[in-house]
Amino acid sequence: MRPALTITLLCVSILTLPLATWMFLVELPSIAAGPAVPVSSGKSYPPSTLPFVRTSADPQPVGLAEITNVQIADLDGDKRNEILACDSSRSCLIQLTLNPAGQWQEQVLIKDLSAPAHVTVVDIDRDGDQDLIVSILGNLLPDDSVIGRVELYEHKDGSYVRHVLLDDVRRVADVQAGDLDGDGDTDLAVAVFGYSRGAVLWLENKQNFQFERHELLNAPGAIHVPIADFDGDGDLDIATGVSQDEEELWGFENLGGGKFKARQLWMTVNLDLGSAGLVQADLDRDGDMDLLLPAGDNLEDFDAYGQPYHGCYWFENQGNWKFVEHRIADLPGTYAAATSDLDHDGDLDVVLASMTNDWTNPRAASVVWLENDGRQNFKTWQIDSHPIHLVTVAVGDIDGDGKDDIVGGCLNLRPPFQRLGRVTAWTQRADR
Amino acid sequence: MSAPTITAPKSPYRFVIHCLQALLAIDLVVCGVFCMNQMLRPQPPLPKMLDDDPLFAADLHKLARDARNGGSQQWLKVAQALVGHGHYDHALACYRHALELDPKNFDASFGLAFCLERTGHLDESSQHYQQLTELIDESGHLQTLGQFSIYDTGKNHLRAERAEEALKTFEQLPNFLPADYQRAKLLIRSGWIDAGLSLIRAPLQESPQSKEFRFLEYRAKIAKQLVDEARLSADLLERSQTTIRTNFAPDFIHSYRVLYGFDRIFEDYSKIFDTKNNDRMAAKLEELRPLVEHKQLPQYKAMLLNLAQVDLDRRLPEAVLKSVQQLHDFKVDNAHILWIEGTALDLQGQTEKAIPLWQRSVTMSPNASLHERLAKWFESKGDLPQCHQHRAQSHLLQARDCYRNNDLQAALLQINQAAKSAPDDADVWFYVGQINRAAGQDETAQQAYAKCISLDPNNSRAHQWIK
Repeated sequence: MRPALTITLLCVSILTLPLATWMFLVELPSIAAGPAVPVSSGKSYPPSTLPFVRTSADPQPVGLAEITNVQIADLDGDKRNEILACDSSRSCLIQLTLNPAGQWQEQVLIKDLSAPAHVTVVDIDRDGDQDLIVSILGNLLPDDSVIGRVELYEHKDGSYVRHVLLDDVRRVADVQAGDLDGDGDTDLAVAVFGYSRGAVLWLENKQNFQFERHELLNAPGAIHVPIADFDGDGDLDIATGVSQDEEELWGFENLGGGKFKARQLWMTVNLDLGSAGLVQADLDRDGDMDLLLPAGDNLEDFDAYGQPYHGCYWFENQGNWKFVEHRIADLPGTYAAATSDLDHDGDLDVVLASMTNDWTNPRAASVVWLENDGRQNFKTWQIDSHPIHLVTVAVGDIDGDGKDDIVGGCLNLRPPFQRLGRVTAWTQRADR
Repeated sequence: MSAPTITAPKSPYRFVIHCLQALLAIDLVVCGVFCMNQMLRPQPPLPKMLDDDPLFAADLHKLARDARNGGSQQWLKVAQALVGHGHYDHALACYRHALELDPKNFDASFGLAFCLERTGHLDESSQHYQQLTELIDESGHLQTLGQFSIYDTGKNHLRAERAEEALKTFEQLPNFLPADYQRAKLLIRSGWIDAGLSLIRAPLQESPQSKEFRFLEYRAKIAKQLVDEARLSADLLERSQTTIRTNFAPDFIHSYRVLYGFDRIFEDYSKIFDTKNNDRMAAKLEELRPLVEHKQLPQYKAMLLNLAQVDLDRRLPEAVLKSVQQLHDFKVDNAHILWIEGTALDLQGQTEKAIPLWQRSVTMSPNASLHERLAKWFESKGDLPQCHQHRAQSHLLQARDCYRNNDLQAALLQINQAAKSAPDDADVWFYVGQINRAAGQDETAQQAYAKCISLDPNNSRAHQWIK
């Protein structure tokens, strides 16, 4: 090589090397171990020993569904169950059916519902067909305004006629039906969730779709109002879970003649427990009604995170209004519970759905069932990790094969917006 | 005889070449050291799942690059961006590294404690809050950060069901209303009713409209079985309007959330919103469209709703109706969209088509101004019963709002108008009673309750107040 060329090349190299280093230095990959990210709080469980098959009317739903409640009921009296789902995004109540061939049919049953939270199937006028009572939030998101309602849809001549049973109240989350004053007609218990303010009411049936309101409790965050004879004295009592920052369970003992005595059954100072519902069931089969509390509501946060106290709590009814707390599951973000003897061994098992497990972990459970060993020791089995953001669950036979299936609904409000669903069913195979 | 030594003829370039070779070797060593040093700098850990917000992903990668080449403050920024978007685990790691680089970085220290709290590591979180409080005491500044650290420690005790420790912790914050509230609540729920009541007396005097303290007063009076006093507290609670912040986590997160990703664009939009410049507002929203269109993201819905509203203000009904259709395609339908659609049709001169949409809208979500609009329409059509019904509803809704806001003069005006339009509406007479009672007009109130009961014998609320 000619010396002049060598010198030129060397000069260029000497100048280029630091320049290139300066230009590309920041792009160089790191070989150093970065700070360790803590282990995720997401939980998964052993796969279910019962075989469930996931099915949905729309495996790839359009938009972001906001299903607030699912129910399984025989609405038309044909001995086959339908699925009812409150869709807050579309402001409607939909009915879905699944035939034995696995085909779905869907129809809008009632439209123009402003953020429906719950549907109650009841023959309120005792005319032999099922009417629908819809709890109206008025706004799905936190709101202390007086925007709630209880709307009755009377089944009449093949269609539904609207009656407003209660308005001028804050957001209504639940309505349950029963003869609360022993006069032979159907009265209602109402959970006015509100936000900073709320209440528990009972509505006395005065006939012709007229109801008189009575306040049982003034407190924000009443979620559900299960009705049962909790004290075994032959009349119907009411229970409620008060969430928000209160986190209490209340019982309303029926004293007869439309009088109730409020009893605080339980409370915790843990203002962040996240009570998300209240379900009645005789879990220990001792002849009285116990209560199940799913806990894992973090909707006040932009991005929720599973907490060590999330899960499901069983409140064992020991009589005389004494309820003893047992924690039976630790599913993060537990938002809904339902009971059924899923494995046909003679005891009640529990199904749970999660709204906020760690969804960055694709194996994190969104639906589980808790196998009861007959002595109320529960083992958690994972049914699915898809879809995510489940807030409501119901159990019943939806395909007519005599086995209980599971239906869940998704409230897609928080990220990630992946593995999305709307109404999803997990059917048990009949050949098992 | 030795052979003669043959040497190559000396080149004039040889020395220069040797020098340059030596320089290049030095260059290589220095650059190599720089490169090695750079490659040994740790990279902030980033979450894998960032597809939902590509803008945030881009912002985060830039911040991460800055952090790798920067110091504690740059790592703090990455951590704050991660907290703002709910990636607490990754934020924890970044806060820890920021503290390693600068143990006196108070913001990183607070952020670390906050993330530990949010991820359920309550004891570790409280320890970090405690350390931070001591550091702040030593340094003698940043009192607000210290105040929040103590308050959050108290809340951690509550979450761990350690009521006594919580009480002691909140006692360290006298005259900090959220801590006073938590203390009073603990006392009242634990049966120390009088102690709780004495604690809420001053805050209620200072802020008689406080929902939280008024609710505690109500609970205390119920616990003491003071039924009449409890009823008055409940009545005042119903008309309370101010809220005391008891949970600061959303504010803390929000302050970082709006700096990055889609939220940054919506934040910019809200700033333009204050200027009422519709064209600029629309342009800002259109900036978002290519990023969110045809994606299952809530920002798509928010963009369309805001755009429809802006286009309504710009009197562009065709554009409004296009956005409404896109919302329907996204499976969104509600009272507000019905109102928007009706108003766009009205702008197009198709009021006949707008009316049923507006009627559906007010049935779903009663709205005073829309009831008034419907009243005018039916008045113009000579349908007086419908006109009076809507007008009465409009006045009743306004009266109720004014009553709940303690604007009793305005409430009286509105409710009297409602009573004129709907003299046989029991609900109207109940509120005539409520508003007059609150205004001290007891006789008028009693007459109104009686009228209400005569129209609706089942009105238990009127029965509650009639003497």
